[in-house]
Amino acid sequence: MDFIRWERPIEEPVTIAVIGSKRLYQQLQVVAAAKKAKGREFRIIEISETDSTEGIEVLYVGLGYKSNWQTIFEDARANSVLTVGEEDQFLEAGGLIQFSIQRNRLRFALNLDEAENYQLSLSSKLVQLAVR
Amino acid sequence: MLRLRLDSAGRRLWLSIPCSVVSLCLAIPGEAQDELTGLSLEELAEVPIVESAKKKQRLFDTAAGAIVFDAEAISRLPASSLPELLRYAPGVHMMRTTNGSWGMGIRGFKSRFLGRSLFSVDDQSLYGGLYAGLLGVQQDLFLDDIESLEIVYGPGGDVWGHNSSNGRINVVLKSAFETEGNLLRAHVGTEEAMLAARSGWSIDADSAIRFSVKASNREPSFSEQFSDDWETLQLGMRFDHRPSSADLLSVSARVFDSSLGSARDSLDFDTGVVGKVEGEETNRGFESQAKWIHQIDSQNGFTARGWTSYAELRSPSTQYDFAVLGFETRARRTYGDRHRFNMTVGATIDDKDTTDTEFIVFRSDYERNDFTAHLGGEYSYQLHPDVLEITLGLTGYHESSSDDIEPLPSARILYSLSRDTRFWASYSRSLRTVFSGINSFERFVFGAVRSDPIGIPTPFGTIPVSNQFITNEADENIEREELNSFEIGYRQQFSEGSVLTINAYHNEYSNLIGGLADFFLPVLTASVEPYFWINAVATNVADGHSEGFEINFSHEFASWFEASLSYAYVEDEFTAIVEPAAIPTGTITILEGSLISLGNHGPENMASAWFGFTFSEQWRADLGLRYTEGFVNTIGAQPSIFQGDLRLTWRPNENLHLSLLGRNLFDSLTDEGLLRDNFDYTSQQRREASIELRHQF
Repeated sequence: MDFIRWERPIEEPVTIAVIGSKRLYQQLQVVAAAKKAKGREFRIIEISETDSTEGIEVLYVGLGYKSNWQTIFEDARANSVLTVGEEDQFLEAGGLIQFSIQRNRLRFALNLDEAENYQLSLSSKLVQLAVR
Repeated sequence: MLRLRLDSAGRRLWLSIPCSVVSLCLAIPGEAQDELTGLSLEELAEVPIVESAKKKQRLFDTAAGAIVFDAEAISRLPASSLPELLRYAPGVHMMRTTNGSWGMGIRGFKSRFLGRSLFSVDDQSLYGGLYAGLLGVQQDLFLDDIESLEIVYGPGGDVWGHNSSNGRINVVLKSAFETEGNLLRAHVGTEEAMLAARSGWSIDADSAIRFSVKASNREPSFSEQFSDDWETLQLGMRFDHRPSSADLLSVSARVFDSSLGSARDSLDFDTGVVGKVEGEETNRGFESQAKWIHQIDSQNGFTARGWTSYAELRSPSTQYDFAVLGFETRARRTYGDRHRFNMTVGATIDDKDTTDTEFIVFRSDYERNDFTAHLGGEYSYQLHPDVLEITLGLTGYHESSSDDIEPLPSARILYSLSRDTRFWASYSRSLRTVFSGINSFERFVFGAVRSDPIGIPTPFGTIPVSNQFITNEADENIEREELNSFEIGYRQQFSEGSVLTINAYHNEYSNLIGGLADFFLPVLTASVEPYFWINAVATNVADGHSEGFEINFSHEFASWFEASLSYAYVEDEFTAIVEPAAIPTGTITILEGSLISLGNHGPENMASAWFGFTFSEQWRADLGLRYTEGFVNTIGAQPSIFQGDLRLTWRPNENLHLSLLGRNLFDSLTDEGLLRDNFDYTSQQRREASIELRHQF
């Protein structure tokens, strides 16, 4: 099942960027290396909250960047970058996917209202699995 | 699944990575992610965030000999109690001397008090200073509450802490999040009946709770001298609350009650008559713990725990109340790619209330409270990232009975020869607390020994004397036992279900505690039968060393057949560090007896095998074989034991299991022999068969 569609042209390797989580960055690199060995390539980069998101497909925003959210989201919308976070109010501020833990299971919520502004389409399956 | 797909125009992209890869990286510890990247989003949504057991990958990267039985193995092994499960761990010698008296030894030593090993439940040490160990097996945990059983060999430095000399056994309980719903387990057999139930539920989205109860009754084992019928009752609860994605608060408590038939010699010092005293040994109490885990990510965070426990033992020979209050915090922190720190600080205080019996008389001024404190740290440095790691540790340990602070250093090196191969070498020092019971008693009646008659010349002729009454006194200057342990190990993963582990070790012991004859007195004035009264002093009597190795090979030979094969070898040697007192030929030499006791209380060779056969989705059989050899003991019990256990399981659906269990199948009676620190009569274990029902609803 595929879940997200970009309206802009994208070429491999897909770039996943991380703001504010060294550990996630390292772990994603491990996963990407394993996937590369199987013939699928991803580029994992670490950027700061003031860097441009141009050329990035997925952006994870770590904890503690609430004051930068608006700037990050505006740039992400302009570059059609999927924004992912886990901090409270992430969706309300304009992010696209927010993870949370409920009943000892990982859950995610979607900001369907914003998807169009990001020029992204979310699959119906993804919507179905989301908690809201 | 990590997957890309360009659309027909080659411009648009469907992507599934954000929801699977990013999400699992956020929530799941790094070691577990490899096995999760292949899951679909639906499957990933069902993976618990809080998983009580340590991941196998973490074990694989541990620079110490270790083996883990996970929940699946626990449910499949032909065993229905923790001690029976431990029989299948390489190098762990379990000995059942009566229905409810289990002894355990890792790498050589064994004791009824599980001494020289640390036994813990969810990291809460059940070690008691009174007898430097615990009557742990009488707490009879409910197996369905256990997520994993971890056995780690050697002292392990700061990781396991003091008093974990020869190894540590940690029982990891399931979180309340993992036990929602109801469970009923019933077991009826030729020797035992057991009924257990559990109910768990979510309180809200972030909280869950469970309660469990277990009651069992065992028929007396075979003995012509006494009846060891055994009844146990246990109540348990656990509450888990996750206030945020980074925090988990847990509160757990268990109440236990055990009543075991027991008997031992009684000595009449006036008449010289050896009699028998029979009665119930009851062991009641509770354990509780509150724990806060704050996990910043998979490498950084801390755990803070506070616990309290209370045990009340009543038997014809021993009576005490023992309570412990403790806390401990552990913090983990990584800096960059290469540096990792672990810090531990903790303290305990206990309270002992002992009562004199005809067998033990305590000093009137014995120290009722003991205090311990420890502060330690470990630093790990990746000399070559993901290939070579060195770890140095140092713990300072203080206990009020000694007034000093002992350093416990450790060093480990882990070499990843490849993704699937690990080699390690380690050194660590450990101390074993002097059991305060020894410091506290004024006189302890050990027991009677009957020998060939020895002639005592008197003015009235030679009087033959056979009985020897042995008593003990405590040496007030007794020191702690010390262990310096060296280990090398090798682990190779051939495939998902195929792992080979080899550990080899050398242990150097100092100041081992034993008995030294103090005085020898022929009592010819006894009104019925003359006897020798031998009084011994409990003190540091020996140094020693032991060497050995453990091998375990687990392999899935086919989708329907898997096996786990284990072998362990140990040899040891102990030498006296004190001069024995001169006593007449033919009487027991206390010091020599202590050395024999140190050296011959475990088998030299141990082997076990577990074969699992999956005939269909509904039918499964598990066969266990175990062999011990080279067990020299002084009372003529079986020097070698070869036994088989079997579980045949029918599972008509996922929630209903019906098993046929057979234990000790190869002999109608098994005499497992003499157990160190056990002064009671022993019995022989019967062959047994039972039916077990497990229903989840």
